[in-house]
Amino acid sequence: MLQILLNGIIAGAIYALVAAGFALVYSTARFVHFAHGAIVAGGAYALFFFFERLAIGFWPAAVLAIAVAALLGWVCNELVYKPLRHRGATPLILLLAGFALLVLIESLLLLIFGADVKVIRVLPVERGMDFFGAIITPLQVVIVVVAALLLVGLHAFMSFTRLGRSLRAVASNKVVAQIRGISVEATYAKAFLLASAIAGVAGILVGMEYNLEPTMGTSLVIKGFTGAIVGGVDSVPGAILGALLLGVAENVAAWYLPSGYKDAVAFVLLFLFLLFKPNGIMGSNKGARK
Amino acid sequence: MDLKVAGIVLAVVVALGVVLSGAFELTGAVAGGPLPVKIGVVTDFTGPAASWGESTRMGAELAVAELEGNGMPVELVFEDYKLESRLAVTSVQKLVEVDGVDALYVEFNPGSLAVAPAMADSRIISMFDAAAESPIDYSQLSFKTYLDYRAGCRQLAQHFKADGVKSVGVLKANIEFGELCLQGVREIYPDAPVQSYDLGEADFSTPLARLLASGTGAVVQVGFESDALNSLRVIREKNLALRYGSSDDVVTQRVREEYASELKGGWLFGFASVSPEFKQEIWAKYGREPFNYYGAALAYTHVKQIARALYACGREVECAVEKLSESPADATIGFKRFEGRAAVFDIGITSGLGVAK
Repeated sequence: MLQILLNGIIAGAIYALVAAGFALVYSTARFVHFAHGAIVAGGAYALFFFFERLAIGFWPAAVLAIAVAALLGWVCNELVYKPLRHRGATPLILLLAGFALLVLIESLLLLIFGADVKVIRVLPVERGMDFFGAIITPLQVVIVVVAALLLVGLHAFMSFTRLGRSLRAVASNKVVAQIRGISVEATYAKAFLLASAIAGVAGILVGMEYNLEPTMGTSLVIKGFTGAIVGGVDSVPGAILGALLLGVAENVAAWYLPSGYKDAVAFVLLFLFLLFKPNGIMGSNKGARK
Repeated sequence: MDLKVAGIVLAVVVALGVVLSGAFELTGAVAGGPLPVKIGVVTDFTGPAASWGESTRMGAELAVAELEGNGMPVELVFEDYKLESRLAVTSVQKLVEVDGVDALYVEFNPGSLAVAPAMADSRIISMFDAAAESPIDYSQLSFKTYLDYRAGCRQLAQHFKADGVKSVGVLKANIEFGELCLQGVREIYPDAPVQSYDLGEADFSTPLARLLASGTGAVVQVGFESDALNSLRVIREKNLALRYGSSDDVVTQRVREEYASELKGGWLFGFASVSPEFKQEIWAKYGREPFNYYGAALAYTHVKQIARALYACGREVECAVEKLSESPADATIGFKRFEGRAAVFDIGITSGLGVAK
């Protein structure tokens, strides 16, 4: 049972890496940024390109991959979302634009890298370490630790840093934030940069743990979105917790139910929270928002 | 001459020319022989299976060159559907209604499963190169080729049983050939436990742990290369005492190189062989080998069969279907016969490391 729990925590940590950036954008810009999944995939492929194709050392390749992901997210905002916002686009329009970007970026990855499975081998695949009878690999430990650090770090960032407070101010009431001298568009741009950098980290870890396929971002963003809804989509720590819970629930359910129901678990959880607790575990329950 | 009159005369001359050239085509009165048989090939040239599609083209064109040498001209019309089902249907519509093909050769499950119902009322012979069996249920003019996954997985199970493995589990992809494989395994192990998954799933930790907990000593999985990579990685990382069985187009050279120790004691099924003569002919024509000899050999075999059947019957469809059904054995890729319009091949079993049994 401990192994199943551990499997769930590892899966949940991966979802949490995706959910964190996703929730950061939502909590600031107030729309569902589905292209976030493609940014994760972009980060993974960027690492593949720098580390495997150009044979740059791992750490420089990782830094470059994170930079590429951050840039990709920033470009999405500058070229697509920002012009749409200036034309008065509703969150629904922005959501549809996000879908279109997801498909576009994944198609570009397919065109550039091909559809065959890619593998990033930084660490050799070896037997994992024993942990009270369960087994976990060093990379999986890193994934869980990074997810935990994100939980703590992002909470501290949003609470105690100037940028974090700006993000919260814009999320809370952008008109008042503007009056206080906070540039809303600059804040959005920074949110996209930060969220996409986190997506880059997620892409690196996911790419090292699993294989790379151009459509890997789609399934990740669905799980990340579900986890964010469960935990509270406008709370970054909540989204991370929700994603962890989702990973554990899926794997425990897969142990007791036919494994084909694994995805059903995610969507049943989603429906239950949307029906009975739409703000999620840690989401705020504010009234009308600007 | 008045311009208006000149324009009318020109239009009449052009129209006459079009009509006459069409009439010549219809009557076959053009010097040079009979109208070529037209075969539409629907495959993937730019999508996930692009390298296989290119192999198909090589085999099909080699077949055409041979047929032309025997006085049976064939025109191939290729369509790229990128493994997207809706594109397969529109490609086939174009081939049938615009290009007027005499027969179709459709590759891979997504296209075959999408096109087959659409061809239910068609008068075109269709050959589906896919692991799924259902495409031939829609029309008496349809044929199916590629490996029999039920038979292949049954043979894997038989080999595991001969090795003394008490129970074999199945990691079943939620797609038709996954179900066929499960049926094959259960002919030998009726109580074989199963863990199913959707294509694209990357995490097999819990399903494999559950199979192991239910007492299985081996797992059979047919799917794609990424499935094998992900499963074998878990087997190694978690040190699971599980042998691995699959098809040899899933366990690629890359998989064998990376997971040689996990594949020891396992079994793979695939086509028994591709004839050395065919390989030589490919090299002679192209100066290189295809990404996958299977794809090239299948296209080569079936394009010839379809063309011969159509020529033998003057394109009369029912006659051609009968002739095609009676196609003789062909050593190119171990084709034995058609049974109920499904191709039967010699199935080869190799050890997990690719050593023939």
